[in-house]
Amino acid sequence: MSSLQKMAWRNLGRNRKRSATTGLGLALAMSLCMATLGIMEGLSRDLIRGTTEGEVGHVQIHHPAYPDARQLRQTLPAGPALMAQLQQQDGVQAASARMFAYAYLSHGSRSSGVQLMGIDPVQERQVTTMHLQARQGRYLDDEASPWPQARSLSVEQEAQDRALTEAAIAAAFDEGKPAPLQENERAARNAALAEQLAPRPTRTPGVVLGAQLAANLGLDPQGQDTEVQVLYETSQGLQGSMALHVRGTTRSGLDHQDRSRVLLHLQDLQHMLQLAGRAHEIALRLHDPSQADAVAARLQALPMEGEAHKVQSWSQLRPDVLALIAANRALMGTLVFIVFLIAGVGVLNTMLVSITERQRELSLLKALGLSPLHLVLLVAMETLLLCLAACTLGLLVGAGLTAWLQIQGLDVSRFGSFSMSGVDMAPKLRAQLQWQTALVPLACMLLVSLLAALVPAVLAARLTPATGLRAT
Amino acid sequence: MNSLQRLLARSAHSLARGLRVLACAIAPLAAPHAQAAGESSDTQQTAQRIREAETALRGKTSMGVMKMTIKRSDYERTYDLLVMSDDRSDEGKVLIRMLGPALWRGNATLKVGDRISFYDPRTRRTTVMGNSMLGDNWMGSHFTNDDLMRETDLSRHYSYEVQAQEKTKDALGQPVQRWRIQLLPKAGAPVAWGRVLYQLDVGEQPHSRALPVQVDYFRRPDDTAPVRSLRYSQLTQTEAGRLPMRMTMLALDKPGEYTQIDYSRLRFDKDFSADEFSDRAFR
Repeated sequence: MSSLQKMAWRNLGRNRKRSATTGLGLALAMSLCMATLGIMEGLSRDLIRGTTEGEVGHVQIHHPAYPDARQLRQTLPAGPALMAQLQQQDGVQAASARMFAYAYLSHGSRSSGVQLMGIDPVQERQVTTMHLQARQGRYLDDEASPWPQARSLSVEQEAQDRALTEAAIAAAFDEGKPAPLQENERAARNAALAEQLAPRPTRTPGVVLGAQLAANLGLDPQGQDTEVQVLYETSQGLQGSMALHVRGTTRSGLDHQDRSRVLLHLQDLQHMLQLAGRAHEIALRLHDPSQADAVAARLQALPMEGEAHKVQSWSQLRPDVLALIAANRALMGTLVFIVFLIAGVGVLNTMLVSITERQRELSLLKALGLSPLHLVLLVAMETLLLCLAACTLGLLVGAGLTAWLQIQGLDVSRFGSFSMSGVDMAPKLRAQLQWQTALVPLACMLLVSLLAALVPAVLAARLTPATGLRAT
Repeated sequence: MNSLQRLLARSAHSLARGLRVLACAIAPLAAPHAQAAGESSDTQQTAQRIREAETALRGKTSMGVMKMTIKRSDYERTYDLLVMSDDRSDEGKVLIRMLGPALWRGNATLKVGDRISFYDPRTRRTTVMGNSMLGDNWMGSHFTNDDLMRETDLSRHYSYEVQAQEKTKDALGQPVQRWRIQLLPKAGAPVAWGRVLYQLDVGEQPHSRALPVQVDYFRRPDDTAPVRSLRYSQLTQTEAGRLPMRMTMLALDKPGEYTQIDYSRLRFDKDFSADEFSDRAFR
């Protein structure tokens, strides 16, 4: 076999220009495919990072029914002790509690349905980069507004409450409208009771609005007139309205969020909804994102103060992102295959010409007793050696190119910004060097080359020595 | 419309819904629709009976004090409400003022035509809402948007079929004829229910008005079990004739949950001034 290898290597060297051209073509195809796959991997990585760090986090915990129903009362405990306990779990880097509610925001004559999202800015900064979405004005304060403690009514006050209801019924029905003086007194008494049951904050809570929402409400976050009214329903079914102070705006890149999102401090929202110490969602950041599924499974077994909960990893929460990555990979695989199909035709041509040129020589070898199988092996060996040489060069160039793209990045900002699955892609595309990005083109190339070698090899093996020797 | 928007629409505007629900319960949203010409007199008579039953608890104008009890798996609550309605004009005015308990007292909601406004006594502010966003659950009760659309739907979007007319006695022992009417949505009608079963009583005296007894809502036309059931009870002889003083909406898909409305006082045909249905009336 070693003599076959020697012969094959020598044969390649007989027409160096041709072998070199074909080999270079293969190397070029190989290295460019590697670089392209590297860019795709980089995009996938950015997409995952953008998704998890943008808002989702690596793992999320909810009330079991919350992800589907999103009812106000489907909450989890989220007291400081539990949050600390979560952070101490294996693999967990940070945890952030969140609360959501739907409400109605109005400013002057304009109004809009909104989603209130309560976050603790200190916790949230350790889990996601949501604070980087701040655009105009200021972001949320780390401290929530001060809210006095709510107290239930005493027996006397309850009697007073009932009396007020009776008086209101009597007055309303007999007069249609209560007498003004009594009305004022009753209103004052009732205000005191209501204040005790559901105290309002001593400072107007600050909020950050989606940029489009602020524009739709005609707000200028840096202007003077930055107070909006929110109308919402508490977990107890009470309709409440209160003033909110607009601090600034955010832009997430997701249209529906920018049109409806209102960020405020978690504790402010907890007080507003009468859900102190609770949360609808706890997002976790892990030390190793690839362990998300394992950590999620482990946390599912955590007691969580005895309450039912459901833990999901980002890939379960956002299957669309994984599907997008899979679709991209399939597309790139097809492209790589097409490139190598063309390269294979090049190899086929080279070997066919080479066989035709060496008809007499191959016939002589056969006449001297070289078996057809050995002849096939000889031609296949030539192709394989050519490919291996090209692969080595291609791998080196490809790795170099990918490394350069990983460090330098490909600036695509002049084509405008774009986003995938709601994640803003960086203006610079960065490749990600991975063994898969080399392996796929390598395997494709070897397979295609060997297939391309088959036809000329069989042709060579079927040469009739007597005819072949006479060929010019 | 994505799910977020749906959710937004659902929860943010529960007030708007609630207002309409109550408006339906006590006062008509609009004058009963005239039946299209050419329909048979039987159909017209059935439609007339349903309209009578629907408007039994409201005259041209009405004013009522009621207790609303909401029983849910996770809480129970009672509101005292004053509801005033004025249907003398096309606008269909309704004012709901919450009389108690403390946390709710003074909250008021006003509907004039399509304009719905909400008043919070603690902030002394009025918020105006568009009517485009209507959802399903009001104030944690079991009344839904579908119920509130009922009045319009029943007179416009359903076809009627009287299934039975049997002689029986009402809760006060008076002989009545109980009609069981099946309502099926007309083709392409934008309604939420696949079938509605309406039971009403018609007194034997000439000119006596029909009174509602029970309304069952089925999700699909061939369902045998209703999802919700609205029942009228506590038939009482009042100045304005016999009237059911209690309405109970049972959420049959959630066992044990219901919302009940008890009228303690009801008065018809009061000559309201225009002022009583303006934002000024809030204060």
